[in-house]
Amino acid sequence: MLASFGGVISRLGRDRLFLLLAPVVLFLLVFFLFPFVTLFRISFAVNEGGSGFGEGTLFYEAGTWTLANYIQFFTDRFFTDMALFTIQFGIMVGVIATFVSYLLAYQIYRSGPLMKSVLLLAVILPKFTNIIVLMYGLLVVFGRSGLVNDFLLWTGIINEPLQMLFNLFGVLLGETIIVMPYCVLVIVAVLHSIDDALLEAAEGLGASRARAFFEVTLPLSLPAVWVSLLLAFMWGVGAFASPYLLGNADLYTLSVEVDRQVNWRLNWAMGSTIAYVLMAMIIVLMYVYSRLQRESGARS
Amino acid sequence: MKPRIRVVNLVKNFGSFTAVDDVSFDVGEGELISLLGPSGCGKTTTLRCIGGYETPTSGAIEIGGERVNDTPIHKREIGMMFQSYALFPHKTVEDNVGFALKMRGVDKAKRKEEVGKTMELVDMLGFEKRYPSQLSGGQRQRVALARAIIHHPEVLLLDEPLANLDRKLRETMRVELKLIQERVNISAILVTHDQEEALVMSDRIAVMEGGKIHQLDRPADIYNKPSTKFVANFIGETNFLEGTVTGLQNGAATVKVEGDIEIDVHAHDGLHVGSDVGVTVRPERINIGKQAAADASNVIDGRIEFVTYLGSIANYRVRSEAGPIFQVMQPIVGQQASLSEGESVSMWWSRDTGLIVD
Ligand SMILES: Nc1ncnc2c1ncn2[C@@H]1O[C@H](COP(=O)(O)OP(=O)(O)OP(=O)(O)O)[C@@H](O)[C@H]1O
Ligand SMILES: [Mg+2]
Repeated sequence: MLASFGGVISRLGRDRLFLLLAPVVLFLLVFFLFPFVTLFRISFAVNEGGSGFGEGTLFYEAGTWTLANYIQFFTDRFFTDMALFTIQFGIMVGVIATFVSYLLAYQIYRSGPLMKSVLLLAVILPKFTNIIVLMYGLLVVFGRSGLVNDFLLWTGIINEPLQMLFNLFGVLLGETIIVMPYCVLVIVAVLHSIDDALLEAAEGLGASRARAFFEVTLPLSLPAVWVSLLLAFMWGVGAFASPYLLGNADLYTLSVEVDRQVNWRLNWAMGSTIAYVLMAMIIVLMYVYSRLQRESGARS
Repeated sequence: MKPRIRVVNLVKNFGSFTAVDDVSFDVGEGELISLLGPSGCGKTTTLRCIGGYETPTSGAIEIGGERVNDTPIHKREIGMMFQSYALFPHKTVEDNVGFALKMRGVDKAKRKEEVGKTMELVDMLGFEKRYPSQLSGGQRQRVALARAIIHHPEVLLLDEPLANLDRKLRETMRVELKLIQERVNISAILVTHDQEEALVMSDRIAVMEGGKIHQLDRPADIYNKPSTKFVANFIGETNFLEGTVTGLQNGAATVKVEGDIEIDVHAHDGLHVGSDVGVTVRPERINIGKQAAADASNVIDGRIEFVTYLGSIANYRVRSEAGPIFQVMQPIVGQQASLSEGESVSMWWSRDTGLIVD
């Protein structure tokens, strides 16, 4: 196998080695770049109803280009409110997932070897299931007659089942569970990179455990917190499964609306427009974030 | 003098392995004691027990007259300097040095003043605003020292503080560290496996092996009167000969060693004819020449097998006619060693030079 690979390389010669990349490039062209460009074009197309995306419309054809979709997006309260909510949702997911992940990551960091493996496995395990299955799993646990409600009713803490799903709590819960593994892994890795001697030094100089955490561990793990915030925020902004399956119409994000435009209203043009606005939003926010981060980094 | 630190019958087990095995010693006020020994002998573990980083299996630690076995690390008045320095990378030099005062609730202005004084002491004025990553190894070391002493702790704990410096700097820093320690008159425990460092810096040295202290004495006594074979071998070079006592008269013993060589040494109490003993003779205490002086004792003839030229001293490897090999060290006068390989020579030393060890 290796030998034949070497044979190919020598036959191609150094300057034609790039030909080996051809399959990958072709794959990306066909399955990524082509749809990408096509959708971009469609977002500027006149919506004709029916099948929606102007079948047979040529890329160049005069008179089929319009800014109407974008204008509608930015002037219709329905869309602007939804965009605003999507950003708010991203921020909430970012903050909540990062906070919860930090607690869990810290627990993992402080645990003994066995407990560490168990906890890490528990964090990663949900990633082995389908996201839809995961969301429906939450129904079993948090639904009206789910485990949590049954337990609380049984203890007598509540008399009526709590409504934990199909509201903001449920959507945040679902999305947090989706992104948490990534956040936890990022934070755990950085916590473990902190030299133990630094904590020992802090304690030797008179810092209690808690004090040492705030003086040493937290500041040195801030880079992981920034990454986690960004990661969770981006997942939140692009959230689909959780708002769709665990939310209601007031909690739909732009991603859900893309699906509704394309598959329900058969308005590919509007769907594409939303997708592109969403992408632009993420790029701008990422840029702002990285600027902020660099400035705060430069100050300290 | 009242001891500042007392270690009493300290034992530390890791599972079934005993890292520190019944260690006891006192450190007087302003005294610097070294724990010296080969890798893995339990030096760091002993130090960490004193600092509170390890819980002793049994025995007691007293700091400033109080038993601190159950006192958490941050309530013990210690200053610890780590081999890696463990400076906080996200804090300026100033904030690193002032850390212990901040933890003790000292206000900012007072802190600044104290930091200034301590920085002056370690000769680092002007570096306050830098980050540790912007300092050289030697400078980091000074900052680490400043940080460890600013709060006037009862004891300064030093775990191989000079191991990360290059040779030249290490030699300068030894003396500086010792001078600063003396100036602030702080009791200190130094862990090292570098015998030179221990000899230069310590008031007393505890030579450790396998979790036990072999000997605890002033540097000169450790060198000149090693009490065990291990100590004799570990500190400096030595010729070690095993043999049996064959004669005892008015304070002198005759020991017959390998090759039926008879050596006269100073005898200590409890020795009797027939005892198996070891004799050590330091290589630099052995005289060597073409002809032994007429009244010389312990004369052994041999041939030089190898000469090691060390600049200011020559190291001769001599095979005696009776068999055993001796190391002899002589200062070089002039430019060349005075004897050369293959020459027949005599070695001799006075009765007080050799030493019986257990
Ligand atoms: N946490 C631990 N768990 C198990 N064994 C340990 C632990 N810490 C130290 N030991 C063992 O105890 C022994 C003494 O270790 P220690 O670190 O005190 O040696 P040392 O004298 O400082 O050596 P070195 O000069 O190499 O630093 C070693 O054999 C070491 O493997
Ligand atoms: Mg050590």
